[in-house]
Amino acid sequence: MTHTRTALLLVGSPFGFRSTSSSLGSYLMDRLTETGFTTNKVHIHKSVKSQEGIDELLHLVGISDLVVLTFPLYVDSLPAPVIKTMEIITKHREEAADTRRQKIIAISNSGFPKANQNLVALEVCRCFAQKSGFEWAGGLALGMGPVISRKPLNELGGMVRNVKKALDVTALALSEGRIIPEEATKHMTKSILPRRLYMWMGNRLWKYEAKKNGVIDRIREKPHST
Amino acid sequence: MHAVILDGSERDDSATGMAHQVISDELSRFDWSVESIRLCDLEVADCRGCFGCWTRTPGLCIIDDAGRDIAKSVVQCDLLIFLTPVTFGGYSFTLKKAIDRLIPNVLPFFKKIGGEIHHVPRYDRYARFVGIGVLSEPDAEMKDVFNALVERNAINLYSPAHAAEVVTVGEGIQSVTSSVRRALLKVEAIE
Ligand SMILES: Cc1cc2nc3c(=O)[nH]c(=O)nc-3n(C[C@H](O)[C@H](O)[C@H](O)COP(=O)(O)O)c2cc1C
Repeated sequence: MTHTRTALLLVGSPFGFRSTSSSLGSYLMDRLTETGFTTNKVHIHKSVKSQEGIDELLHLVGISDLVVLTFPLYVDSLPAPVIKTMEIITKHREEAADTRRQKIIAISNSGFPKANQNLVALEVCRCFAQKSGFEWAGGLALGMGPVISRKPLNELGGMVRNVKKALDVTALALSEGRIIPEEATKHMTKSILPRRLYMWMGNRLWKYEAKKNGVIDRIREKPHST
Repeated sequence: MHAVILDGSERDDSATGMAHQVISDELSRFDWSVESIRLCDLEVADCRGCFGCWTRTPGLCIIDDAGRDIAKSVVQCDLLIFLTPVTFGGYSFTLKKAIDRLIPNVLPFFKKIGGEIHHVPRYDRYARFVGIGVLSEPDAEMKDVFNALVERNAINLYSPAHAAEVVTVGEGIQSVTSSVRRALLKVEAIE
């Protein structure tokens, strides 16, 4: 009898399944399903709030052959609740002494354009994998994450073709028991938009939002000066 | 001159507690006033990622809890110290909760800093910055990751000077003191 492989998507954005992290992870999960994986999803921020959620998360991690951790870059690192989850998983695995071979990958997306600003956060994920007994199968870094604006990748047209290529290559490699190939990391680091355009759009968007909320005149306020 | 120590250790962590004491003593010897913030004693909510601090209540997090006061202390100090058990090479959850709540202190707009794009500062001046990590056992890789993280944070915190040091649980007080001194000397907080 062949064992059906199970993959778990851990979404580490406060926006849960309506986040860029989830868009990236869900696309990968769909590709993995096509190669025969059974998939589960967990919204980290929601799960770590209750013991029930934590127990469920630990159970799903325990039965998975592959864990896919996706998160937004927060101050050059991972959002706090994701670190908390890593602390909980590590402690649990130390106590449970599970010896099953399980792989983990991580996908980080950032607001700044350059994907390489995510590399320290991916190193943290690699250290977590080591400490908690997972086999590290690599990380993917994406800049300009907000361009995806929490939409399914298939609704975004040619703009995300390299992102999709990266995830297609990754899914194939993982389904064949390989780690994330360099080809995938390269596709993922390609700019989604020209940098200048992204900066221009970003700066306009913040002004638009502040204007909508009636605070454009105060946008540069310094409330903590005194 | 005023220093703020953001301590991300848990109550039973005596090694980080010792490092805290050493930092505080060294700074006091050089006439710094020291504000010790033990984060495990405070309620700090997780950042919701809403960017309300940029587009609704400019410069203020929409969550009114200790996270706001910490952001204020960080703006007003001359030296900011992140003290933490090294957690997978990075900061502990307890410290990171407070750090995620610091983004009100910058503006949403982008600008180039050293060839990379970052945010425009909100304030006219920012503090010097020191990261002190406490490893549970020697680990060269995690030490490198910690140093790299402090390096990157220094850019986003606009620190005019920064330093990182990692000590290991079980190190004696003299060894911890010399690491702390090295970091404080590098940012010219002590002589
Ligand atoms: C508290 C906070 C800190 C952030 N820090 C960074 C950062 O250091 N570098 C960066 O490029 N983007 C940073 N961002 C931007 C997010 O990484 C970006 O908006 C991301 O696309 C959000 O993805 P999500 O939809 O999966 O949550 C930060 C956002 C927040 C709310």
